[in-house]
Amino acid sequence: MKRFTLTLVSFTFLLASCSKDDDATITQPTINLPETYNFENVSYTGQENRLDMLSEITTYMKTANNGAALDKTTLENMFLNSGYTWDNPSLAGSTKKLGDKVSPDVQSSFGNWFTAIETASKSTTAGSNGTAGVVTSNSGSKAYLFDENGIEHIQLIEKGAMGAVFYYQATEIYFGDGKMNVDNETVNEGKGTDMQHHWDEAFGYFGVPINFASDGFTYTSGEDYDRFWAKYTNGRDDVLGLNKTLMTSLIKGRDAIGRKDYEDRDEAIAEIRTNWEKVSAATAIHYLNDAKTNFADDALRMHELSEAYAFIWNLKFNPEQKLSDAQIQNDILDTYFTNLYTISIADINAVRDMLSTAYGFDAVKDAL
Amino acid sequence: MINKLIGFCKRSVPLILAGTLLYSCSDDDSGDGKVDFDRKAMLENWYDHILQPAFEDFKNHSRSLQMATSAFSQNPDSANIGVLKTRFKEAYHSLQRIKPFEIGPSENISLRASLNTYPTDTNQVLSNIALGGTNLGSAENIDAKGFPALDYLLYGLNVDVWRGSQAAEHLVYLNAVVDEIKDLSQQNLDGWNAYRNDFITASGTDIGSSLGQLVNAMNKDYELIKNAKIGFPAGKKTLGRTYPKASEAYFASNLSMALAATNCEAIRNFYKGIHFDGSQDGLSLDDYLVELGTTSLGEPLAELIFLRLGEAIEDINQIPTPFSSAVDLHQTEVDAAYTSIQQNVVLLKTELPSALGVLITYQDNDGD
Repeated sequence: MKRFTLTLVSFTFLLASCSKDDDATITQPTINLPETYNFENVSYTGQENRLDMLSEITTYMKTANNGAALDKTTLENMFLNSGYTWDNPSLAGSTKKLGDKVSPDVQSSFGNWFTAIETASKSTTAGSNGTAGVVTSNSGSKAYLFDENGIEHIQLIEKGAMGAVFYYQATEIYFGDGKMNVDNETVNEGKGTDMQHHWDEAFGYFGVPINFASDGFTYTSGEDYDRFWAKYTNGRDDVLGLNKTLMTSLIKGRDAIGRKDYEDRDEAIAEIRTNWEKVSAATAIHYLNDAKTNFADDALRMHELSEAYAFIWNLKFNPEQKLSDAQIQNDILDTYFTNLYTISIADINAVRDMLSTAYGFDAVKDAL
Repeated sequence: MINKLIGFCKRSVPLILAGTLLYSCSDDDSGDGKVDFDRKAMLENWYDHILQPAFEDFKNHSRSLQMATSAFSQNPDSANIGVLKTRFKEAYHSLQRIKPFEIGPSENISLRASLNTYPTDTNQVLSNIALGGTNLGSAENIDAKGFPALDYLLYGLNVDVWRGSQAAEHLVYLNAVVDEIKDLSQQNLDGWNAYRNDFITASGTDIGSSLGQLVNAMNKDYELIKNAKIGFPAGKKTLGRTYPKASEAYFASNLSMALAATNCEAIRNFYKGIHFDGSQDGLSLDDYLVELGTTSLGEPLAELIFLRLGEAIEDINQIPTPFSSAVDLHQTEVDAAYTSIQQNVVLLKTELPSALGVLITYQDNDGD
């Protein structure tokens, strides 16, 4: 017990030192901020609906890992919330859809991926280089559906929607002029002002509980919030300490809007864009490291590289993005991820080094 | 080998007694974790007298292996293949002495997976030989190269292939495999030679510290001895169904447990701080534990781990050769070694890191 305490103490110290570093880059607000995202008139049910929809789409897609053939039309209906009956009762009657919130730059990607995953799921043989199909891990405990080049489209679709919908809508749309340069006087019951409501909707896409990263909060796997950006932000928190940093910025921005302090609000926007992007880049590096660890296991390696692919692809959806679309698509994805059956350690290292250089992760890239 | 090990243990008794004395002198400090231990000096001892010499040794053995391969390619007679086999065994042993240290430059090039993924895919090897022009970096060839592929080429093929109509193709592949070993051993050494300052400067106990990384790497490698070298072939993960052909160095047949013993010995020597040339016992984890005064069930942990590692080595050496037969014919000895290794896992992976304030962050995997 005593040893356990010691470990916890050192662990806490580590976390504390990480977030301290990050705080140093953030201008401290002059007023006392609330500990949690506890404001009046907060509502983001539309965002919760879309998170729930993506969860259900993912569940459906994963049936292909057990050999089920997927139907592209069903996937489209789910994505467009059109003529599909959700299992999740809270989605009954919802008019929200993922499909109309996708970044216009990548509208065609999801349709192409639905086609690709339907095709792959109809394969009746095990996957191998040049042949789509399910591949089982060396230990026999995991199975994933890959296309003929070892790409797992489930990851591209699920994680890609995290980027091209959730992250894009929050950092580009809701934090953009069109949604921030709006009325901040008229309070609508339950929703606040238009500006407050837009901020809350961005928060909703982040998908964390309102007391995330506050004192006494413990992240628990398996809770409803344990998915999407909450999960991956928390997954890198040991190294980056961004749970607290991002939460503080989200609270700071909402508070600033209440005080009509638009300088503070814009500062918060800049911080969130930077740090949310870091979560995606760091998660990509994390999966590249995993792929090196499991390099000799086709199923695990290609699954992890498909995760990395999606988190790299997501780096496109932020107006302050560090790498250009061309660097992301041409120099990284189209150069190194063409065939995950034949990728090399040197390829993975090349991608990892490009990301760690661009995002300043050289010192922590091994630990991510 | 057995005599050598027992002799070693006898010589070590005074060291252990000295350790016990130190322990009793420092019991005031026990448990509070704030002791006067020079971690930097420990890192210097590790780098200068254990790690760097081991990496240098591996490079030298890889070079000798390459020279023997050249001689054999010029004149593939029985004398030259005899020399080549000897060089192969020496280099394979040398690899066992560096694989517990897969951090930094070694981790970067995934040295262990690149050189020692087994069992080798003999069909892939034969197909690569027939097709020619193989890209050994491709993930498809991860189990068709390195030492396991050499094991098959040198011990698994009829010796006539080196003189028959297919000799040229076989020699091309043999040379490609050996050249890659040599290149990686050189890259690894170059990386480490440039890494001394980074290694010694990272003298904390956090995730990125040299101590934190090496305690993780040592544990990961130790578990590979348990799982990949012994457990999996012996059916420990498969309801008792044995997989003799999954043994390390399956074709050389009497090498498997000798390699396991060398690997375990390397971990013990590292733990104790014994210089690579065997000349001195320098600062290492055991001294740190003595300074901390950590006990396990009333016994000094420092001593307990050392003794248990020695027992594991002895028990490994008790397994009759070839190991691939022993998994079915000598289960008592195999089980004894497996249990012996396993007993130490909780000490090395839980009690030691907890005492040092180091976090275990790697995930257990099934094989090399």
